[in-house]
Amino acid sequence: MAGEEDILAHLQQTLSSDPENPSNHFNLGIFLWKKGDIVGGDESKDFKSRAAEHFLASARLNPGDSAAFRILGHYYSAVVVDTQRAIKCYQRALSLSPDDFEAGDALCDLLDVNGKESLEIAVCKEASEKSPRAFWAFRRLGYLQVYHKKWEEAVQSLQHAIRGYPACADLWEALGLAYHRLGRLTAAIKSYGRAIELEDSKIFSLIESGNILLMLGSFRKGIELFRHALEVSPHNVSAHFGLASGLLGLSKECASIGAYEWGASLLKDASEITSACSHLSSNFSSVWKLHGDIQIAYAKCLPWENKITSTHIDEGAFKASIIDWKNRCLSAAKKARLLYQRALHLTPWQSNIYADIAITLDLIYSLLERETTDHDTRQLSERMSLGSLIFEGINCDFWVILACVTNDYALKQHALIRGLQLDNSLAVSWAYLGKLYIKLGENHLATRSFDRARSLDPSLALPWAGMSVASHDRNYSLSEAYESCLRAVQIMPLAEFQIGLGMLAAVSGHLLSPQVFSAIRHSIQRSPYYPESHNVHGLICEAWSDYQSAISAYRLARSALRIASLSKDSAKRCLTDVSVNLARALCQAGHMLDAEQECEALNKDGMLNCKGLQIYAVALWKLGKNDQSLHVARNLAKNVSTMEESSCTAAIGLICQLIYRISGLESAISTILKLPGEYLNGAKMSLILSAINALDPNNRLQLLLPTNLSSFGAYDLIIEMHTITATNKMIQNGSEQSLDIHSGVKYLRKVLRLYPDSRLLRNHLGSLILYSGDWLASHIAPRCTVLPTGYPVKTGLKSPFEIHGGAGVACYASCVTRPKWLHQEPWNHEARYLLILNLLQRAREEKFPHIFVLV
Amino acid sequence: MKLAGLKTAENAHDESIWASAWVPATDNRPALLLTGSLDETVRLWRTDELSPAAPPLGGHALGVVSVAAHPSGVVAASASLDSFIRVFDVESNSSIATLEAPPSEVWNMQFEPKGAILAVAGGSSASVKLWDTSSWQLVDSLAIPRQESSRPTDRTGGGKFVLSVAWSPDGKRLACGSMDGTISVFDVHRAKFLHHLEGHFMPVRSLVYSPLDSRVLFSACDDTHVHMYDAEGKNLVASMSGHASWVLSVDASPDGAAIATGSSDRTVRLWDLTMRASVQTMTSHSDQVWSVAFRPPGGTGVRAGRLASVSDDKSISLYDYS
Repeated sequence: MAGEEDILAHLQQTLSSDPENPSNHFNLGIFLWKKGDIVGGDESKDFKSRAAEHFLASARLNPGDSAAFRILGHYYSAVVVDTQRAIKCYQRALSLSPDDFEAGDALCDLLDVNGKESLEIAVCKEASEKSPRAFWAFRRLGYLQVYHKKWEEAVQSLQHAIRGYPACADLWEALGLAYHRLGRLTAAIKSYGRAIELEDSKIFSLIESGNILLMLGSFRKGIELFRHALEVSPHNVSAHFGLASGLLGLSKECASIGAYEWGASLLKDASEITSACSHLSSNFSSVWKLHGDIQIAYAKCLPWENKITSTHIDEGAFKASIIDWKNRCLSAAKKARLLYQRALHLTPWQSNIYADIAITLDLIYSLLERETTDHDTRQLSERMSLGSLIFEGINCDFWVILACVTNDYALKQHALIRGLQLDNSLAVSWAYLGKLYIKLGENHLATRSFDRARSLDPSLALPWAGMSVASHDRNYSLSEAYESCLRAVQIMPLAEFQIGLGMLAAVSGHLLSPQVFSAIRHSIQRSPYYPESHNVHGLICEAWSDYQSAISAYRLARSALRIASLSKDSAKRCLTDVSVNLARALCQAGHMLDAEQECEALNKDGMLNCKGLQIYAVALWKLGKNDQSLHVARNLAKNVSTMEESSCTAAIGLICQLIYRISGLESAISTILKLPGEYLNGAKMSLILSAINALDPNNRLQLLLPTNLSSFGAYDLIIEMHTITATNKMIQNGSEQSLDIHSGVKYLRKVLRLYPDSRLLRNHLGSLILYSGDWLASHIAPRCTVLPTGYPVKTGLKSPFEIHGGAGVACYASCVTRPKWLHQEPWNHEARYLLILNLLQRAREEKFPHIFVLV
Repeated sequence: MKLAGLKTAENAHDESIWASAWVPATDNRPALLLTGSLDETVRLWRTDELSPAAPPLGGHALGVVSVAAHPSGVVAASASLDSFIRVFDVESNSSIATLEAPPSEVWNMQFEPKGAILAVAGGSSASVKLWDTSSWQLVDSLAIPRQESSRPTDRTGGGKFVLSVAWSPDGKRLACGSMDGTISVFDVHRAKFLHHLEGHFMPVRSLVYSPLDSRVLFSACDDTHVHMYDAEGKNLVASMSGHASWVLSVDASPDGAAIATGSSDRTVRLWDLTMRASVQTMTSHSDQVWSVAFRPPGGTGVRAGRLASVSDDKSISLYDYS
């Protein structure tokens, strides 16, 4: 205290020594002012009034000193409470130095409290025009402009203010808002992001940038921001809402790539979050609507889980699991219906909720379809969609919704055309119109509608799918149909599209395509009650040589068929097809007994068609029941005349093969000779004929063989014919015990000159050379075979790897090829054996005993 | 004046309860409480034990938004979200008539005090529909005149979605409240629009006339206020605040001394009209209170006042009003 007294005395002394110096007055004033701040109560007032006297004196002596005016302003506003005087002092201070943020802010606060907003803006504008460094003015101006929604001007003021206060989170937030409202979304995200960086708990920035991200479709980032916002303020309705809608968006993304399980779990989370949200405030219609949307999405996304893994399929369990799955979907849809009703009850003037209820009702009916088809209840969804149209008759989407929910074809057509009248580039409407025309059998109109829809919006799935259906009676090829269906599935993974794709793949030979595989897997998850999806799945598994899966898929298909409510005739037909497929898969998997049982069961029902007969015959033969097999073959032969051409040759081919295998060469030849000539024309038949002919030393069938090989269209067939001819040559020229390999090699070499790129020929040649025992064989053989890349096609002949391997062993050459072979076919024992053999030989040669351990 | 909680029936419906009304007493039975719910049923309750007076009444395909009882106590009506009104006999639950309106054109409804007409707030039609209660035919439609600014193509009538309707006790006037906050008053006999009452700017979800004075109208609005109007002189008499959220329902006590309101803030409030202030707040509900209803006087030996409130929490609360 003593020090302070000294300073006071000193200051007073300097003042009295030079009373005309304004700085002396000012310094004393500052000292007294500070003292007034320190002490409280009346004493403070006392000090401050004394200080004010000195400031007044200072200001009088030096009217250009803004600081004195500023503090006088403080004095009048805080101590004397004379607003007018305070404002005048501050204004004076500002006119002297517009950068003075203390005076500026204090003045603006005063004006703000007194409601003089326009004056406040004028002050800020004046200061900002006077000095570019009056950042306080820019800041305040920016905020005011944001408040008055003058976004363009606000952006400029705020940007300028940020130069002065780069670490002010509020400024960044306001700038973000201004950008957001101007529609400059990326800039807005950046500004909001900066605000969040500066201040972690900027809830407004978090939520708004989250909303922008959702709008832009980057759901993951948005979700992150909303989660952060919820950490900051756990009861924020907007953050809850944003998080839930982000999850909804993400789940839709998941469902569109087929990750149904994941999508469903996301939706479960979202549903919980919205429940919490609606508990926080139950009168937000939008929250209820969002919850409804989430439930609908859940009903559309929940996958059926195939819990049945064993080969023995319990039909009851299958049925129960499907019913359980359906009920879960149904209860979600029903929940959605209640939630939408709540939303509607709160805001009955929102037309889209009427449409939502209509769609929900439609979904519920489609899930219930197999139980009730009540006409009255069906009308309700129509009625609700009319409700939305009453509000907004000019909304073409509502017309399309009406068309979708109604059952009346005339009304459907009317609504779709009405939609087109309102917006003639409405692709959806054209697409549905096409669908309607297909249903009505107007295929020509349908294709035209689909064409329109496709050219208006190529990213719409329905017209693509529609085109593939409408392909039958136009010159639209099968592969084109497949391609367009594939496009539809890629755009929208709908179970119906996927099954269609699978069926098209089956007839157009695309069963091995991975896209088809995944599409069918997805279709099973979303519509397990369709027997078609299981059946096509089986076909695909068969094509991939996965017979076990194929068998279980066919069994599921059969269970699904029994559950499905089809008409008796069609059910029976489908059941036969599936059973034949099953028998074939069993046959191929080596379960001959099961296959035989399947065929017998079919036979009992009188449903054994020609395909079934073939399988039956093969199964019996494999089981060693030769007589029965021949009996079946004879049955088959009886039906040959009634068959189509393609299945006819297959049947005859099979019969010939069976007779050869069972009764031997002689009876086979005699049977063939007895057959009418027109059956022997096909390419496959010729192969069989030439093979049998090759084995026959007397060449009795020579006459029946086609003379000119190149008359066959197919390239592969010619090659095969040539290899058979080579074998024939070897048999003809060889003795009883051994074949004349050299003549075969000679013939094949000739053919190779004609077809130098044939792998099959090269393989054959390679293996023949190896057999020939020529001392150079091991070097030549690898050179004439080519290692294939990709998936090796299985043939009964030696694969190129094998030849390489054999050659390697023969000459103790490098062991490079064998690990490669082993790598590609790790199940192949022969490869392993050859590799080990090779290593042993090398080890013995180089005397490295430790290799034995490795092996 | 005072409210005292008598009984709360939890889970009275399977879903949120949205509407309630008292069916007046007849010669052979006391007054019954009628409730309508999102679960698509309408139920009748005996007082004071709140036991079901009849099995749940079906007949609706969507949630029930409004119920009304004929002053004779014999007939009642219920309306659902699909805009069908079912008129039924209270004793036997047999349907008397099904009144169909275009979707979204049925909201609240009330019988005329003498019972000759049923007035239905016409939602998006921007009008009040009047149905004759003997022939069950639509007799008139009182349309709110369009404001000049509204475009002719705008079918919503310039935001005039009519949510609520109320009869004056003498049956001469009809008031209806709309989504934009305006209240329109009609002269029923001349079928003429009289004037708007202004002061609200959010949806007016409930209206009631004072039973003693045909000039006094109370309105419940989403702006959290309850207004008291002089419906003839177009004056706002008082604006009463106290609720923390939307006011969803208002009803006037039979003695005309008090009104009760239900709100989104989950409370029921009793307002003293001489003090024009809230005198009591009941917090028996755990979710928003959609409807409050005072029991009309009458019936044998029943003097005590009763107030019922129904809520989104599926419960009904009954209070003694004295």
